[in-house]
Amino acid sequence: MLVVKEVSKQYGDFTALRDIQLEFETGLYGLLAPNGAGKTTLIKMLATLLYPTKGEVLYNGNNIIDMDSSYRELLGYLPQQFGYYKNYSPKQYLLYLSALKGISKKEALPKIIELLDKVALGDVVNKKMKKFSGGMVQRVGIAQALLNDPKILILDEPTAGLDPKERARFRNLLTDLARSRLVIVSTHIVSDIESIANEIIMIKNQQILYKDSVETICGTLDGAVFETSMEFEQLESFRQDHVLLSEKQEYGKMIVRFIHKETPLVDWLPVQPQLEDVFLYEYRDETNGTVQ
Amino acid sequence: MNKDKFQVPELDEHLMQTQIKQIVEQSVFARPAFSRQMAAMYSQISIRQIFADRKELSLVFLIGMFLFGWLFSMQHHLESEAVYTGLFLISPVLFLGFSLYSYWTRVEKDTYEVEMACKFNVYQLMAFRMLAFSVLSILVNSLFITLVAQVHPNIHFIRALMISLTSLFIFSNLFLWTLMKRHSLVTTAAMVFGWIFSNLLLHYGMGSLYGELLVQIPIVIYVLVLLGSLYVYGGLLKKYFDLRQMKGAV
Repeated sequence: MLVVKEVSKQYGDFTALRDIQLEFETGLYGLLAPNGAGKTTLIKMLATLLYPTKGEVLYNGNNIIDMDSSYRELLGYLPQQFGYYKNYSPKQYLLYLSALKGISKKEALPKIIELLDKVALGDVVNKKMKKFSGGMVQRVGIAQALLNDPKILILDEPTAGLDPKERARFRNLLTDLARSRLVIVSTHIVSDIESIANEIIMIKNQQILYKDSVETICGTLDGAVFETSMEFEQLESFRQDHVLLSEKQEYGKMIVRFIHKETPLVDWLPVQPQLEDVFLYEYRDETNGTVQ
Repeated sequence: MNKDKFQVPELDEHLMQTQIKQIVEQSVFARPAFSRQMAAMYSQISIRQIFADRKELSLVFLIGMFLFGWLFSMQHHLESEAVYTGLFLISPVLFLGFSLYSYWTRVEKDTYEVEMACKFNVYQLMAFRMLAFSVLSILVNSLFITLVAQVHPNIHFIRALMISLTSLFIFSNLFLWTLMKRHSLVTTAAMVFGWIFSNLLLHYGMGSLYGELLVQIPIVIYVLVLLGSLYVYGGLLKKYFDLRQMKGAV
């Protein structure tokens, strides 16, 4: 369906992405990496907002840049920074964007009402957006990306500003949408995609680190994640020797979750690796402990 | 044992060329002509949405009208040469006001990325709007010149119209070229100030010579310059329409 073929992107001397090779089919893909890893650059190339310095992106065998408006007709896109006109209501803004997407007013109006209901904005359809909270604006952004019933839906940090309830609703919406289209969600929040993505893509050192199911990626740390408890005073020296994934205080003791790849101590509790463990391990600061 | 003998047909050059052409046609996305793309925009996006910011555009129009009114009120006290130089200076004012406002609201704002990912993108919309602004400027300028020619005894309608149209399209070309080369509101604003400053410099530096020059240039030269400017304008507008195709949007 969508193929990223040996794509590199350079900004002057700086290489943002190098020799990226990816294939997408119908389903939900989570693009997971810390800020600055190149997620947005990749997303913008998939949305034709940036052109690759090398390589090409193909949709059903055709270069998406050559496809021009016929590719954009298939595309729904939510940028990281969703801009809007403050004096417009969601209905006005979505009507305007529908026109740019080539959708007639007659066709757009019921769709807009349906979508605003879906993102729980049905009661503020005609309110000016300047009075909206960040989460409400973001939900208008999600609705606009769905206006043309896109075959390819690309969302860059879609849950920014959403509260936990809205996030849960959004995850359900994505699961529904991904049954019949390609959905690519870029995020640095593991919980946004861990339970819903068919595949996770992780970028490291400008290249693809993983493109696989959550289970397979978590499997890379099988038998290496442990939990143990200790006194607070022992924590500092433990930090020096291990890659800590999390720390929490419980009944006056510190419970730590960490990576250990050699023979464990008997009182350490082996635990099932989670995607967040892989994320924290792969993107750890080099100064933060060593793996034993 | 009988073995099937496969016959490979002799390659027919004509058939080969036809099939190559068919394969290429099916795999390469041909871009429709500029005029057809504009017509498609017009039919698919309602004028209400292309000019969704009508209130703001009306305000720009009123400011433009104020400038025209000011020149009209002054023209009784001016020599005909000074009226011609004034016309040359302010003829692009409406086009400039509308286009700068559009650029500022459509290209320089956070809405840019969302709109660039739509079927009809920001540059295509801008190109359509600029064409409409040119037409509106021609109409308003012509009306203004008609009024001036009625009341000012030494203003020649055709010459004034030619000066106005030539100025409008020379300015439009400079404006579009700057927008495409620099992608910056500051550079574009600098070009606009350059236009105003150089005109004022010519007017005050050369004294009446500048006005006399505008009067003495034969009409046919204006027509030729205007035709050339229109040709360049069409080409620049088309390039602006396809801008994303060449550079990527962000």
